[in-house]
Amino acid sequence: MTASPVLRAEGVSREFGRGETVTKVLHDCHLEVYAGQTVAIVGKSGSGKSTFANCLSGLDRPTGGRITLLGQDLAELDEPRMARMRAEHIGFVLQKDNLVPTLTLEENVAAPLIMSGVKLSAALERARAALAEVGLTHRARSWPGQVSGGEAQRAAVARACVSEPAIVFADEPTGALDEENGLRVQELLRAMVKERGAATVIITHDLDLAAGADVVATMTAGTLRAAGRVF
Amino acid sequence: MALDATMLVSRSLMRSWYFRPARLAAAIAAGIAGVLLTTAVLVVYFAVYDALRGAPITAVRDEVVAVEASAPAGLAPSVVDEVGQRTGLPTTSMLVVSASRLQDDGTTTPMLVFGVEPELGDFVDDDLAEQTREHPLGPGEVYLAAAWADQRGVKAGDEIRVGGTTDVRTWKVAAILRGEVANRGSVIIAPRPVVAEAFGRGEFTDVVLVDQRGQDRARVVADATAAVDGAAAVKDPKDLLSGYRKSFQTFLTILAMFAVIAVLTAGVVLYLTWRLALDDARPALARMRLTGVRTSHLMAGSAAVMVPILLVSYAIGVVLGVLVGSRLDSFSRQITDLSQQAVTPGTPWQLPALGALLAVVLMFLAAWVSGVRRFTKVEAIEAVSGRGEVAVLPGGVRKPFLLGAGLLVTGVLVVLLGPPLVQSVGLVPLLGGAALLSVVLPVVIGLALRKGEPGPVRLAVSRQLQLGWRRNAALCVTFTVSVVSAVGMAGVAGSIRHEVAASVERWTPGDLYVQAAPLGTNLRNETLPRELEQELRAVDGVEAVTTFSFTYLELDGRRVQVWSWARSDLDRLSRLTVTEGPADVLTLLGQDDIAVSVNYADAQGVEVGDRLDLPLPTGHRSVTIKAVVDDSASDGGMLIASPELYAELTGSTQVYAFFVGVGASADKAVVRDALAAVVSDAHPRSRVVTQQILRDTVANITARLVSAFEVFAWVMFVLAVLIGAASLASGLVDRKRANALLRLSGATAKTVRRQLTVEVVLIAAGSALVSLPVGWLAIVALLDAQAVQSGIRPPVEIPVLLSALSLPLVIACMLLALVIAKPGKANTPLRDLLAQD
Ligand SMILES: Nc1ncnc2c1ncn2[C@@H]1O[C@H](COP(=O)(O)OP(=O)(O)OP(=O)(O)O)[C@@H](O)[C@H]1O
Ligand SMILES: [Mg+2]
Repeated sequence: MTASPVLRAEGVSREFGRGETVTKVLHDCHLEVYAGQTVAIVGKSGSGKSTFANCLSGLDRPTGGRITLLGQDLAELDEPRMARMRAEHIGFVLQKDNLVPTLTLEENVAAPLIMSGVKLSAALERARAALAEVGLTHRARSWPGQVSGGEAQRAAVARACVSEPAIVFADEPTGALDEENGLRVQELLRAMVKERGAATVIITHDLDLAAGADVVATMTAGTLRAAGRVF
Repeated sequence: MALDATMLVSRSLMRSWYFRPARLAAAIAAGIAGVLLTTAVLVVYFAVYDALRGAPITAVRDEVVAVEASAPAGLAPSVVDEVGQRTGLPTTSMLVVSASRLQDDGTTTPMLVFGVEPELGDFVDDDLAEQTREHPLGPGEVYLAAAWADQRGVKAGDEIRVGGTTDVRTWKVAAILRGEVANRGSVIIAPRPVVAEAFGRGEFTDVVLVDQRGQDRARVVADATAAVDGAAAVKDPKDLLSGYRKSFQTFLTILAMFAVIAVLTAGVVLYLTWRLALDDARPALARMRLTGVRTSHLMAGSAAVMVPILLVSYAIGVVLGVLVGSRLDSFSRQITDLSQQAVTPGTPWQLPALGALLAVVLMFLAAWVSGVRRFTKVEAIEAVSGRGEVAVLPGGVRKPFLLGAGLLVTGVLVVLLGPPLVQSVGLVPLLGGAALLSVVLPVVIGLALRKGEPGPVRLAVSRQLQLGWRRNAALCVTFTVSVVSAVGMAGVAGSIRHEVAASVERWTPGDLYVQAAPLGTNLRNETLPRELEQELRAVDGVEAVTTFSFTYLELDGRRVQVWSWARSDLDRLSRLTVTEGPADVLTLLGQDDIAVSVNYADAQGVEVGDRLDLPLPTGHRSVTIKAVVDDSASDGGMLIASPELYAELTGSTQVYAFFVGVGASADKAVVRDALAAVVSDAHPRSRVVTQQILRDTVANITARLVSAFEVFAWVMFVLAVLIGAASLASGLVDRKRANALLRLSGATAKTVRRQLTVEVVLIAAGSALVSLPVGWLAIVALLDAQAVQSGIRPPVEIPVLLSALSLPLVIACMLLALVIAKPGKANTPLRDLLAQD
């Protein structure tokens, strides 16, 4: 494939703190993610995986280097355009507590669509379809406080994929679940992403999850080394 | 072990607040503000109450029976003799006169002047008797009390100037007596003849003391009572000069109502903020459960943290409250001015401090018990599921709505249709219903907003209003209670002020007023001779003159004002309207009949044709009520007497003021100067004032007083709103992640900000919708409550400004809180906002 990458990180670094107490968490990280590709980032706890993923997805700003998402330099996007980018092109699955507690599951899933201007009824319809894919039709009208951790995580997967994003970021999406539920969420994520042709950046301790990836990148003390199949 | 577990709970609670400093700050601020408000209001209340309680004579021995004249003239010498003869016991007579001490800078201080006989030494405690023997009074000499003199740096040998009936007297201080003596030290003690001469009292006496000398007290009291024949009341010495206690009840009642409402508002705010502070600690406590902490540990641990916070807030609040309360002493002084009695109000801080402590402890206990009761349901599982934090479910609407509406309707019916006296009871269901509805209303609005095709902002607002009701309830109730009480109080104040102003207008159509002393400083001791009338009539441009006098007499143990006009030129100088009886009653009154004001008739339940037993210097007379006059200017009502009856009651023909009408063609300023020239030589303290000045001053004593209530209402309102804002700001901290999650789905920071703004505006508007009408109804209920004492039933005046400004003010404060809390800060990385503590 010769198309340009969905996501390109060039020489990304991230420091925390100022002056004497400055800690350098990321050093000159490079990564390219192409459409439909799954990239797994693995590494020891505290090595900087989350920090890197947050920079990639625009949740955090790197102190050095450049990140280009869908051809846009993230540093050049102002807040409203970044928000729009999130609504239309990026999906997120966090480790836990993904859902807005004051919205029903279907409303949570519909949120990215509503934010990008889709009418509520149409958005809810698509949200229900996405919930059906993750087996939560019967929970569509429930509140986040009423569902189990696994169900909430599946709803988060539905939300991440509902707007047919170009890329989905998942930071330890199964980390807070038991094995059975974890597997299920993992399957669903893989299937839904594949169906929509989205790229995925997944951070995990789970070697099974990493094994299914197209690229496995290892973070070691803030330095990224990519391995595996590269197109 | 148990102690360690408790410590662990305390520590974890502290830490959970450490991460939510806004919540802790709100709880402390609410505590301080609540205590401050409560203490300040109680300080004012007790200062006024204390001042109105009268001027106890503390130095008289217990085995003395006191006979206190009821008529303003005092007791005739024949009656005093009769008391001595019937009881067969030694007696001594005293004059008690309210007078103004004049200072070089022109200010005046009210004092009681006692005119005493040498025998008084046998009737007072030994210490005082000893002191007077050591320093016998020479000519022109007086005693002062140390409690008063030491504070003002007055020493033996100094001179003191006092406004007498017609001129200023200067006396020399012979000695400063140790202790208070009477009237909290604000006394001048002089020989009886000196006082009688200075105040034109002749042979009359105000108080007769009878030395019991081991005789049966009941017998002595019975003999004395028979001797005075209704001209005086026989009492314990400690009850002397106590008539004030039963007058000026209107203001005490309003003040008491206000104190109750202030305490209530402060209490509600306290309760809600502390309760939220406890709720915030829930996740931390759930985690503590994992370590095997028991309910008793939770309770003890939470108390161990909260009680010190409570005590600190209380200590700061009480000090500030006493300061603020004593700063408001001009307010208490106005009330005592109004009572025109010679008392200097102090700052009683003990009872207010105790009252505030009680209120605070009760509210804290309520918050703690109800908050901790929920803790006992905190299960360890919540720590794992995290469900305790996110288990927000929509509030049920039906039951609370029906209950609230039911209460409100009951309240409205009682207030609007209930008979007088019952109306005020309607306030309770009214407030309860309003508070409940104000909590339900946002939930209903939320439900309605969800209908149709809401956009992102409307959707989020709708759901937050439905789901966040528990947190929103704190705001709603705070707004509602503060708006209802502020509007209610301001309305009562305004209504009374208008009624009094209207009354004053009715009896002041005259153009100029010749006063014996500067307005507001005359304690009825300074008067003008009636003969001046001829000279005033002779002044160019004067077309009408009448005289006006007023005094107090003691009727059924309560002080009642007696007013009297001369019959001349009344058609020009009075527009008093008669609501019952002959229209020209003022010219028809004789020695055996009187007119009463409508508020007197109301408060005492009397009507035309009823008879009243009036005390005279020599006995009593039964007079007939001939008319009821529309007037509410006097507290508790007044009697109008003919000049002849008035002269009998007071034993004097002197007058308090001349009311003057100026011809249409004459220049009022010129006439004013001419009148002043006529009186000022012989009466240097006299003043000629215009209609405007008189109306302003007379109505103003009341007006300033009720204005103070209005100011209080505003302060209370603003305080409550600020606390609401603080609690809103702290609540936003807890919604940080929820808002960040919305942004994760593509909401812009602006969308989030707009959502929060709309929420706040809707909550405030919902509260206003409920609380403004309820506040207006509360005015009716509160007016009814005060009417019991005052008899004043003014038309309801709605406080337009406060009503109009309450909603914008609430919204402005909330928006300010939003700005300060910066919930939608665009340039904070979302990563930080998503982080959980
Ligand atoms: N805001 C911050 N300020 C200072 N240091 C930070 C901050 N965020 C992360 N760090 C540090 O950066 C390093 C990397 O953190 P990061 O969360 O990226 O690790 P991780 O690889 O995701 O670990 P885990 O597998 O445990 O999630 C850690 O040492 C952490 O202490
Ligand atoms: Mg991580």
